[in-house]
Amino acid sequence: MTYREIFDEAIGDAPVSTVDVDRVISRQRKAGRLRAWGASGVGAAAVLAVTLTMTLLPEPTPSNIVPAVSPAVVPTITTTAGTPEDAKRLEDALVAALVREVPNLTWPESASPNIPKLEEGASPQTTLENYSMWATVGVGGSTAKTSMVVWRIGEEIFARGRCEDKRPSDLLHYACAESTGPDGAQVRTIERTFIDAKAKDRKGEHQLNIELLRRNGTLVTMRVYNEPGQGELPLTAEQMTAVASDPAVALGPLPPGATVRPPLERRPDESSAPGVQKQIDKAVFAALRAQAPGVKAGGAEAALEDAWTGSGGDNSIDEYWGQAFVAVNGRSGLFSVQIWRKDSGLGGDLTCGPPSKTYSCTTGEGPNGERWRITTNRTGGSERNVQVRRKDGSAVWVSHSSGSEDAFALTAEQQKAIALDPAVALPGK
Amino acid sequence: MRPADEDEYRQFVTVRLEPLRRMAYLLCRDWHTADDLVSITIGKLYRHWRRVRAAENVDAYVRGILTNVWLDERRRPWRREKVTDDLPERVDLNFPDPSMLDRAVLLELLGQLPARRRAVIVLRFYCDLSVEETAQVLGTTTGTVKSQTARGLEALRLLLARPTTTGGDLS
Repeated sequence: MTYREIFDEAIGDAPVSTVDVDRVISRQRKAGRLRAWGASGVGAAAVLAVTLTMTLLPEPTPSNIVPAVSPAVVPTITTTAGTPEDAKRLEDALVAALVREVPNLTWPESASPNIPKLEEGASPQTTLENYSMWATVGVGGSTAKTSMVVWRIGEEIFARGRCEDKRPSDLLHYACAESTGPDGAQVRTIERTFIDAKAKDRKGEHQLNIELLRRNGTLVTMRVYNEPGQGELPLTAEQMTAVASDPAVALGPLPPGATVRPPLERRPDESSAPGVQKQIDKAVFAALRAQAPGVKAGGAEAALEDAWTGSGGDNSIDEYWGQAFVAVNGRSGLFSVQIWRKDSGLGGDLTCGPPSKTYSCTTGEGPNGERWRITTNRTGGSERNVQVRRKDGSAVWVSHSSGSEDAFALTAEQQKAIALDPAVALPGK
Repeated sequence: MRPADEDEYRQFVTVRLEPLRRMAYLLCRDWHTADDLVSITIGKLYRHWRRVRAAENVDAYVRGILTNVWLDERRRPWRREKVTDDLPERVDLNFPDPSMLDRAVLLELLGQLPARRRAVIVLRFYCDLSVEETAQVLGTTTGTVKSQTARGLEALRLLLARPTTTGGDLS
């Protein structure tokens, strides 16, 4: 068996594709026209108009509302998972739920706007593990794409998502909320609007995502998205939550003797409270300020605390990551701290290779028996990494970059002192 | 774009869509994100199609776009591996017998590799690209690809060797 076959088997069945080639082509045609207009100055005005439109739109409020409509009767599902009959039943259930929640919903890609049409994908729409679909829907003059995936075992997928506590930099608007839905389901609602200038290939795309984890472990993820010019999103968070909650929107029972594997293995102890992240943040700030008292956020008038970003779902009680652009005495660069409770060994044995024009390295032992290595790479800009392996088996990496060679905001000694600071650590379990 | 070029582009994309999605999934481990990455990739491909179609290995070029789109999307500079010479290159790729690996664990372990190292593994072992092609895709040297491959596989071995991994029971 080749590696390729192994990977293919590990990937398993892909859910139906939501890649819309026609839409991509349409966008690129528009972008080409816009570039042509831009040459005469008209494009700039158009971009400004789009930006202003997006800015002035009232910001939708993330939903904490439990939808009022939830089918009270739990249907008995008689079709078997993975069969065409189950796919058809799910399709019917989904359409019924959509039409129930949004009576004036239209299907612009259909022969008639009132005849529901779900798009066909290249992959099977239903497997033992999941069901997926996508469609173009509209309300009034607005249109959007919508997609849905139903996972039989979804706890781990849901657990790995998390609301960011700040708006990511490529988004004009970001709102995320978690709530309890019908029948005790956990619901995460995420709304995002991409900034035109930074997300060139998304051009102001507006997305609304619902992730609904039922008490039986079934996860339903649903997304609706469109771009400027296509109007408001035709589905609201409440309507999507109601659709995702519909008990008929569920995979059929497994065939006799069949078992399924979770799409993701459970990570042990994977639930870092936001307070823990902030506690480590504070320790990092204190260590940074102790080494560089005048440090501030680089390139912005923001406080260091506001510029600091975490990694959302990747941070856990066993891992920490945070970074910001920092400035010290007029020099700025990206500064990052990563901590692992258990060293993965990815740093090798923390020894040095031979120096070169672009690489230098030193190693040593810290006051508490830590093993450390400082490597500096000068390819393009410069980057300096301090890797520390502590006696308790944990690892701390403090990294720092500069835009030009050797113009670091921090010295190697300052960087090392931060990495060796005992307070820069994960709290005990 | 001329209609004939656009038809050619559409045919190319239609045939490659699923393999690209699967490659994207290996990189990001999320189907929604994978589809986003592929959408961005084929958008870029559209813009440069007339030039790309003349390339000797269009598939490698497209995989390169996809890989770089993913790396860009991560926007986590510290997760991007840099060129280093701090460990000797190893040619002993004593990876465990693949048939013995738990498939889900393999994916999980792959997901724990740093971004560029993961990209090298996916390009070399899933996309079957040569060392030279992988180097071209990632804009780096063949020596770096070799060392990243060795380290990637070594990391997988190390992770597998741990008594308990985040990937779960290996038995």
